[in-house]
Amino acid sequence: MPVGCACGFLQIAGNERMTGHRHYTVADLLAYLDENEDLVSVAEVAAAVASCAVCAARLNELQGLGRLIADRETWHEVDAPAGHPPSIMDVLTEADRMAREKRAAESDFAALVATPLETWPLYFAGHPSAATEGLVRRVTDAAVAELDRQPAHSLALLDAADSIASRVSDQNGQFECRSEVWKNRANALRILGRYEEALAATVMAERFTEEIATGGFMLAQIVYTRGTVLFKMGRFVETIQTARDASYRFAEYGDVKRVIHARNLEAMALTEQGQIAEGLRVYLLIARQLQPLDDPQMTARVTTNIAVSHRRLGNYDDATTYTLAAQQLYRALGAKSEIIRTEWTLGLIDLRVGETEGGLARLRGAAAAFEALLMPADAGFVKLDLTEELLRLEEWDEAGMMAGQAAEAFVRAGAKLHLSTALAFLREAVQQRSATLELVQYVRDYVKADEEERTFAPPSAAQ
Amino acid sequence: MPNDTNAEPLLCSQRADAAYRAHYDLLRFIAARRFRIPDDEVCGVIHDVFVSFIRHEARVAQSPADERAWLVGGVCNASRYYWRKHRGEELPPDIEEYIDPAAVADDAITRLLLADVLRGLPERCRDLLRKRYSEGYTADEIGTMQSLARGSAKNLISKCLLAARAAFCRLRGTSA
Repeated sequence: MPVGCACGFLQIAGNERMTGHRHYTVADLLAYLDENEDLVSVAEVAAAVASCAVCAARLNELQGLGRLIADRETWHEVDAPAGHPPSIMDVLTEADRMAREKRAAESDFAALVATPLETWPLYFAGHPSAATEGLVRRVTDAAVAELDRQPAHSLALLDAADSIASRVSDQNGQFECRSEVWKNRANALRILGRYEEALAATVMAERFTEEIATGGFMLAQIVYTRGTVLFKMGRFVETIQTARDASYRFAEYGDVKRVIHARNLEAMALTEQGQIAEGLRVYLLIARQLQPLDDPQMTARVTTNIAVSHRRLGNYDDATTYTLAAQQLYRALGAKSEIIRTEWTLGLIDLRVGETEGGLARLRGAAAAFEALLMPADAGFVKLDLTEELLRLEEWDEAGMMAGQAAEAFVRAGAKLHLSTALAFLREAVQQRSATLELVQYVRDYVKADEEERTFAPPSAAQ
Repeated sequence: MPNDTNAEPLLCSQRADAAYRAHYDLLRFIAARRFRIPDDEVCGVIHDVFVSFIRHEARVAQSPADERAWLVGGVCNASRYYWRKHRGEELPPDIEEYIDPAAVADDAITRLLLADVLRGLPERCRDLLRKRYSEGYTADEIGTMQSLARGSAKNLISKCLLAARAAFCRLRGTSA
């Protein structure tokens, strides 16, 4: 007799009347699975199941249950002695140690930061018990806080943290700390443009994680960090591979936010490699995944990246829409420099669609705004874009002046000799009216790469 | 007054404590059944993961689902480490492949529920199901073993399976 089916399937009596087919009950189907001819006609059920989606789905569910019941692991579990979880006391004792060390580390850290880094070893000579995991973490946190503002100082702090970590007696704690320290050393070295050393630091960090049973999460972060270094080095194929590896590793921990960060890196590398449409596909995918998450920074960044992709693909309407959306997000975050960047992007879009005056005005405004925020390097890049556009318009005098202003901006940003040489070459070429659009792009790429060991050579000489 | 440091309360993570109570059984099942960690080593693996959880607490999202996923990922990775360390570098493919923590946890919860159901069946019923489905005896063989008529064995097995399924659906909160 047809009845309501369980586990998601509900028999609707009307179905029977409409189709004239009697849906088999769970008992019938179980008897069928057991080929129990005493209860059902196996051939009849087989024929019905072949032509009825409801019965087939119900049978499928029962087969799934049957597979689970047949699985030996299920019976191992049935036979496993029942009981409460073992005491968590050893975990809590470990947590207690870390919490106490963290508390004590505050006073040791306060004493240490009041003295020059070079004298820190003396402190440990007098306070050998101060070299704890808690203190290493405290120094590492301080270094991370300085990463963007003072990367060289951050690196020095991380070196000190590593030296303290080597004295930590608990080996697991020591390796955990040192993997964290070396991952952050890689970040500092990347920001300082010391890419080969940054890559080596990720290898070192990975070695420490390999020594600990629970290094998987840290390893995912290290792999991601390596991806960011490879990206900066322009090694995009490896960046894509590494970013994907990182995203799989984060996914194992259900860490959706970090998966999105890794996929964003992958999309950036795809874009730089020229696979702009594929990069855009990934950006759009992660933009959807970001919707339920509370990550406004990342949402703004991905929105900007979508805008840039559309601009590069020549989809200027979409590029404008996404840039304005990103601008709104950055306004909500109060991120002044990013708001200026969106103005810069809107200016470039204006230029591409022939809104020359509006575009130039936006770029000039962006350059002035960066200067006002004491961000001369960014102002310099905007001025290079202005130089390029003025050259396109054959406004030679103004272009020459702009190239000079760009060079001055980079000098204010602390540009070293190799960059100054390149910018001076460009300014002279514009002033002599021999500069080409390709030369501006060449110099811009050279300045962006900022590789001190690569002496500037004009394009013809470089070829 | 003696200074008894042992009397100080533990500065423990309440979050870790709660997560331990909530997820220990699930994590034990994954380590023991999916990754085949010996029963006497499972607790050590899980405790390592919880110590790591405390270290990374600030980086783990707060929702129960995120917390559970992180711990499942931690147990999977710690289990792989166990395999590499104790059974050589070459990991069996099913252990090495990346997992989806939500799917692994759902599957484990289903199996834990089913084991609970089977454990709760009358012993005779449980034995019939074990013999028929896990040990692979036919209904006729089981009938002979238990001195039952051929049809009776089949009917009994069907009834036991039906009872198991009904209890399973009840525990899962779905209608049977």
